[in-house]
Amino acid sequence: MIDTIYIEKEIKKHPRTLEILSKFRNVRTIAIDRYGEVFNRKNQNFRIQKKNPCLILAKKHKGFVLPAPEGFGIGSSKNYYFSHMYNCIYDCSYCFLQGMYSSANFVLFVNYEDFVLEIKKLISKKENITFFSGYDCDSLALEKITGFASYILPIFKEYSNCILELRTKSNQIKPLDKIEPIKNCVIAFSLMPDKISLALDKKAPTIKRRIATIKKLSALGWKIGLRFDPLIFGDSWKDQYQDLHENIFNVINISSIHSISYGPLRFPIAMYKKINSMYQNEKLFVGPFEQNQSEVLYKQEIEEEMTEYCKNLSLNFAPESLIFNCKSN
Amino acid sequence: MNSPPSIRWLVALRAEAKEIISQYELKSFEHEGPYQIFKSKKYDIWLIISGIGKVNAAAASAYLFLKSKATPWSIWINFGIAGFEKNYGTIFKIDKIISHSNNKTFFPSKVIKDKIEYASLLTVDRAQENYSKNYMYDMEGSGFFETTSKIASHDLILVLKIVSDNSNNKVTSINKDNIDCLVKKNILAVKKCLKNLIDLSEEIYISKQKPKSFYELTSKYSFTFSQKIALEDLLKKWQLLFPKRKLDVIINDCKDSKSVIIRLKSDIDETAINWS
Repeated sequence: MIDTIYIEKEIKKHPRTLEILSKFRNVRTIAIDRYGEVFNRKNQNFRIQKKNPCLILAKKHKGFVLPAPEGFGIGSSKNYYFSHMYNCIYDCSYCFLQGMYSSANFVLFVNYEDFVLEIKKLISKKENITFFSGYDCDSLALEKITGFASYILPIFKEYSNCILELRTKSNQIKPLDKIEPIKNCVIAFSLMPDKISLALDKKAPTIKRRIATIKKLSALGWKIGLRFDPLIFGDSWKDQYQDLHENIFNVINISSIHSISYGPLRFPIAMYKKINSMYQNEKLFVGPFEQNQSEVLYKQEIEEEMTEYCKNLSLNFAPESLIFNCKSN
Repeated sequence: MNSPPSIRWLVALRAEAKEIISQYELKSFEHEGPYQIFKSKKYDIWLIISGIGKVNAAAASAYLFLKSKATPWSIWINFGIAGFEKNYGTIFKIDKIISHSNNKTFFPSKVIKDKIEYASLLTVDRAQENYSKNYMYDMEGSGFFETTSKIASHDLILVLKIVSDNSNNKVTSINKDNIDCLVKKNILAVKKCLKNLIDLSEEIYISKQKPKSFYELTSKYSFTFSQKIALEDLLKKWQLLFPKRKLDVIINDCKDSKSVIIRLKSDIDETAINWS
């Protein structure tokens, strides 16, 4: 539970700041100049901070919308991502955020309007664009506090040539259960076999609950993205991924699926070293990994076999046109 | 040596230190140096008396760091009295420190949860008598924090202040006895708070430790520097995969360091993780 909120002085009276603060009782507020004073400072410890993270309300000044890594996409000619928030309430062992930041506090940028201005500038170029939300945070997990999805979704309704993907593991479906489904918005769920998720996706909803949420949203008419990302290797992985695919496709109508993608587990070398050093007893980092010039990843034959096998599993249920690889080059 | 609890206390006055010295059974550490230091014979616990003022606090922190060979899991505590218009006698954890002379602001970590409430602190150069209800006043906090945040784990630094003076309890009436009385009144809360930090410190300590077998193997075989790095990583993985297997049996027929590494690597590569 959040017991402290740091607030940048500049946005102290921003209506969204006031609205967010009204949702908390007995919270200590601390005025700061810029969020960098408390976030990602030298000698902070991500794992220790994860035990009691604070919320930081800040204003973003630049870099509202950024190009997605090459190889990342679900069919559009251009791909961008944006992050209204840094860090996440879940604690997944493979999460790159713990390698990127030394702080586990949540930074929420309250100037949503500025994100939209940048998004609209890109949209005006009349290209097919996919915008990904949920790269540096979970798109829906803190929606009750942030209201970000409620704000951004209606805006995309006007731009049918663009796609918005909200990536999540959350089973919190507000505001999606209150508004008409938007055809060009995809609610994308990160998925992996149940046993693996239980070991790695700490504090996140179980796969069973995620599938139940997918079922609900699909029944409401929302387009669903299935993101088997990252693909995790282990004993009997084929059986586990087969069960997972069957469990999903048994409850969801294929017409609800916008896209299915597979993403291998890969870490930049320095990030891998940093994350690995944080854990003494995390099986994930046993591998078997290899290292290329820039990344630590599963051995090539494992990565290829897993992607191919899982794609074939999907092909039993869905046309090839829905299936994508999400692999940074 | 230097395993948790590893604690470094910095206090300005001997009177503030008296109860800490007694509780942790600290003895005077004889040395030729500018500050009086106490240390535990049993544990890695040290205390330095810095004298008044933020420059003293900064210098004493750095001095203690070197003298005590502080570790990445050492807990650093600035403990002392402060002025505050309310809550006479109450102890506070500090989560914001402003240095009055240069307006620098610092934000100590807030990872521990306990009954001690948080307050802000203004570090001044001269004793204040215009008390505030928004800030506590002290004379060391910013100097201590600015220095220790550069040399210690940010999340293991704690500033604890007991309200010793305000408009009803004049600064001029502070003496050794009432300081001792205020510290004694709060010592239990301090120890409870410290227990939480020690738990965190232990986590950092554990994360920095090499597997036990690393030392056994490196004393038995001659590993190069890069082999040692590989060995540490492989041992960590091997023990996770085979917690019940005996390593000495597995490497019994290994003749040199290279064959140990090959053996461990092949065991690991041939085994897929069981996620159940």
